[in-house]
Amino acid sequence: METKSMLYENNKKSMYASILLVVTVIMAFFFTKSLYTDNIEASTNLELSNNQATELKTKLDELTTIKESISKDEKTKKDIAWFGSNFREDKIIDSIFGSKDGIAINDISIEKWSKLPNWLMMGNISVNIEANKLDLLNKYLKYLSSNENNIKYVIKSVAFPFDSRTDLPVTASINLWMYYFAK
Amino acid sequence: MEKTNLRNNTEENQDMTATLKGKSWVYLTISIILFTLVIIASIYLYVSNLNLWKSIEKAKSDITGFQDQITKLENNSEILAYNTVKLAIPEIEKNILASQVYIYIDELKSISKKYSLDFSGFSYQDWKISTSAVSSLTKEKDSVEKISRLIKDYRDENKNMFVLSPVSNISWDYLKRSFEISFELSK
Repeated sequence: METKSMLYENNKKSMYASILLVVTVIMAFFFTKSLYTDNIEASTNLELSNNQATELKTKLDELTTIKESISKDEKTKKDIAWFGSNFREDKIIDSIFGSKDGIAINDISIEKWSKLPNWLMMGNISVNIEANKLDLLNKYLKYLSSNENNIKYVIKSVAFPFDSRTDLPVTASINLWMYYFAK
Repeated sequence: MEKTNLRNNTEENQDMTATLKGKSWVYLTISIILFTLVIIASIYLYVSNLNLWKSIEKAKSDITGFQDQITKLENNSEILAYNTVKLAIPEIEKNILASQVYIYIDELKSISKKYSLDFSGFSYQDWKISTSAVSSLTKEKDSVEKISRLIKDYRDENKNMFVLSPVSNISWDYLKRSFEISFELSK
């Protein structure tokens, strides 16, 4: 009797153990496995997102540094002012008339041209001037592409009745190129 | 004899039962341990997933924020201008340097003095200078010599600011020799 009762108890324990084992296997297969797969996927996604965030942060820092250097670095500010500012007729007129000791400026014509391969825009300015002396003409030509000017021009062509024997007043036609920026 | 056999059988049964009892406990214990491990692993994975999803949301939010700021800065005209100017600056400065006409006018004045030639007219375009030279002396030999010396110096030496273009015509006008002269800028 005692043996039968003990056998019965043992069978009950084995039964419980088997049920528990089956439940464990089902749970592991349907639930834990799915959680594990999600975990792997989420880890991968997080790594990708972090990498993307790091790249974007680096790019943002670069742009922020550029913005700060534009506002603080004098050379950068001047380069943009000389070659990368908007096309403004008032600024062009101010620069042409900026230094005119002994120079009379007769005509100015201003023309917008097209975009260059370097993505800047090109403007063409023609100026007719009268200079009291050749030296003053020279001084004016130097001023046009100097750092003192608010726009730095490329002198494309100059023509005047040069006479090396005399130093009479001269009338000169000057063709200038200017660089500017437009979106 | 029978009593001994019966006792032996009982003892055998007891041993068997004890063995079965031990094995059942081990079996049950192992099942419980496995079940517990699976539960713990599931809870751990669940919590880990929650944290990961939270971190992913934060990273995505950061990405959106960064992209917005980058778009704003990239559309800033000053920054656009800066990037464009920065790339073009070497070419622009080269063009400005090559177009320093005031230097070429001074050089022409020096040439005039050095060779006692008179220049009339000045035209500068596309890195080329054109003028007319007049050599006027009463002695024709000296006048021609000056022209010849100029041409010789500009052909023999290559350190000059200008390169003399071919001189194709020298005309005679009683008191003076004159010729069209043009220079190109030395590279």
